[in-house]
Amino acid sequence: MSSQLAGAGTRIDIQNVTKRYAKSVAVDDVSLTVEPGEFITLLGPSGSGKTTTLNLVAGFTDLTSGSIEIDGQRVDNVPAHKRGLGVVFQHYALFPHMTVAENIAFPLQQRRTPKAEQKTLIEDALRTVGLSGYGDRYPRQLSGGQQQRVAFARAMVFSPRALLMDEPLGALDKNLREKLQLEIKRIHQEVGRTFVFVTHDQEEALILSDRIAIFNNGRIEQVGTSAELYERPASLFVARFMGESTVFRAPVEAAGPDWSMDFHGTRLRGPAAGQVPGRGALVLRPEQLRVAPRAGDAPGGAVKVPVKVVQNIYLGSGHKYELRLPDGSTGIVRTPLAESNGLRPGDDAVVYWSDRDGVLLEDSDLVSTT
Amino acid sequence: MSVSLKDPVRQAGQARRTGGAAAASGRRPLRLSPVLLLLPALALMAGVFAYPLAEAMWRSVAYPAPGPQNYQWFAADAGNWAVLGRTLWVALLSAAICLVLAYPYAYFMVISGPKLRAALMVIVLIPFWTSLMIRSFAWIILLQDNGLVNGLLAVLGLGPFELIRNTTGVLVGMVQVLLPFMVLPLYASMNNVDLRLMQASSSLGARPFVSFTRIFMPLAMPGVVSGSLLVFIQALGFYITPALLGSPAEMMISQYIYMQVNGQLQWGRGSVLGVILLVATLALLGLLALLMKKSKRAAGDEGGLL
Ligand SMILES: Nc1ncnc2c1ncn2[C@@H]1O[C@H](COP(=O)(O)OP(=O)(O)OP(=O)(O)O)[C@@H](O)[C@H]1O
Ligand SMILES: [Mg+2]
Repeated sequence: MSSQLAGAGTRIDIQNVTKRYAKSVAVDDVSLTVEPGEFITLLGPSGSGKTTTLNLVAGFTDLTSGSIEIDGQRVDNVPAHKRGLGVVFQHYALFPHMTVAENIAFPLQQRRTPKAEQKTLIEDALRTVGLSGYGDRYPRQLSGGQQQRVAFARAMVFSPRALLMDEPLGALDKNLREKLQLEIKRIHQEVGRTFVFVTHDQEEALILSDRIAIFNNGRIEQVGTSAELYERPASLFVARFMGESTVFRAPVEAAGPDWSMDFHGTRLRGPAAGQVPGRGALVLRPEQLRVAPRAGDAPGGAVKVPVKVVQNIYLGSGHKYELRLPDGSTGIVRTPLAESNGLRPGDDAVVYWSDRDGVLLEDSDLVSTT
Repeated sequence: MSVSLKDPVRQAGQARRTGGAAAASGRRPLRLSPVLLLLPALALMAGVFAYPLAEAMWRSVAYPAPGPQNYQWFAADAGNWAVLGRTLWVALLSAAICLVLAYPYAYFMVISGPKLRAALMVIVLIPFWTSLMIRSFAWIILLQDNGLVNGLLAVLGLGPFELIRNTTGVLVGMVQVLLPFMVLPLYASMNNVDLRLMQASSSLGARPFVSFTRIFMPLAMPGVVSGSLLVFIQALGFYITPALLGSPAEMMISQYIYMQVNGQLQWGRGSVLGVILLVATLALLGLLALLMKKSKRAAGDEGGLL
């Protein structure tokens, strides 16, 4: 069926790539290797350099320094139309004066595919994106979601070496976005090609990706599977960007890999850190924490910090607490329903956790909350 | 009455309803107001366009005596057909030359930065601020047998060429005058083309030349059509430029009309020429509209220029 689309993936090697504009550095010494057949997502806040990186790979932008290799071949000086990569844009970029079928035929015509073969390829591609029978329509006669599917079909019909997507679902509403996310995942599994996906939606990245590269200020902060990023964030930025967290910030007193810090009168400890920073930020995930009305309710070995309850939200499957830490910052705790304790907003309580949990990171925030 | 006394709520409702009805009926004459507002404009159009047109049509069959003799005169004389043919041909050439000159210019405007673009726009508009007469005389000075252009050509060992008192001179002058009418619609239409589509096209494997001809040009087509129409139609009725830069031996229809009416007091013949020019123009436009409609239906587009 989609056998023509299927094939081995392509390796993309981005090495020390920098893109400087007159007044800013959009991409700053980025290195990233995308493995054949991998689904990798570039995730990061607005202006962090995701689109620029993708455009550098696609060949729409010239790099300032560094190199990009596709399957071991340098492409820095290869123009976009010779790179053989499929690109899906946030704004669809369908040709308005061509029908759906003509749009999808366009890349095949550039490759001088025989007419008869074009026809079957177009039908296959339309079937893959669930739009059989729409070939004669014009783009403006389609909904946004349908247009984006056509854009996918057009970008994949010529069996590109890899598929690059820049926030392809950004313009769609939530329901449609979730539906198309699953379709993209399915298509990736079907065709087994290398996919590079750009988004600033953390949840979308978790659903789709084999690996995620976290961008910040034109640099990659960390690359890894979602579990790696969530459980072993390399920086406070990554910890905050990937899911909810509670951060305890204080100067660190270290002796070798063992460390402790004095957080407003409480001695905090945790797992040994590779590199012990001077100003520490101990990160704990909501499900690693517990709350109790009194310190005595917590198990003996636990680390305990006094807090004030700001909110106690009933979620059906459990409770979510919002807490005020002694330094004024906010803590988030999720507990199973069985551990309900009747705490109410305004109550004094104790947050506690096992000293085997937590990740000590360098406190990179310039302004500290007091 | 007694009901309404017992039921003040309903009474109030009723009052509101009748009040509403009164307000509605009071508003009704106001609904005509758009038409009323259009009346002065319609009167102006009738006075300035419809009346002279009707008058010309009337004169073409009524002067000097009632009957079709003016049309017979036109049909019988091959010279008349030659003038009509030359007029259409020169107008068509003007439009074509304007298009060839304006297309790259407008494209350059679209792809250049804001400052350069503003400068290019001013250069297009400057001729608008200069009198047509002065510009035509300037061309005479430049193009005459011992003028600047022939002088420069002589340096290269060429010429001298006859550049005025013929169709060449007319074309040079008309193209210069009409160029802005081609550049502006072209620019407007090209500016509407999403240049990101060219990126998409190159990502799909199209060479820059293919992206330009298969994506950019079709999408900029409306500007080509409206610009060409503007130039062509204005060129048909041009008088001053052909009169100053052309020759009586290669007359255009507006000069011919002037000659018939002013020189020979042949109001009827002058009117026939005018009517025939109008009919020929309408016929051409009709044909074009038909072609556009076909190509537009193919593009699934509703509404548009014509
Ligand atoms: N053509 C350009 N000229 C100058 N600066 C640019 C240009 N393109 C991008 N930049 C700058 O480079 C930085 C990175 O931009 P980029 O578009 O890659 O961000 P992004 O991560 O895709 O953001 P978003 O999520 O908002 O799309 C931004 O600060 C932007 O202002
Ligand atoms: Mg972007």
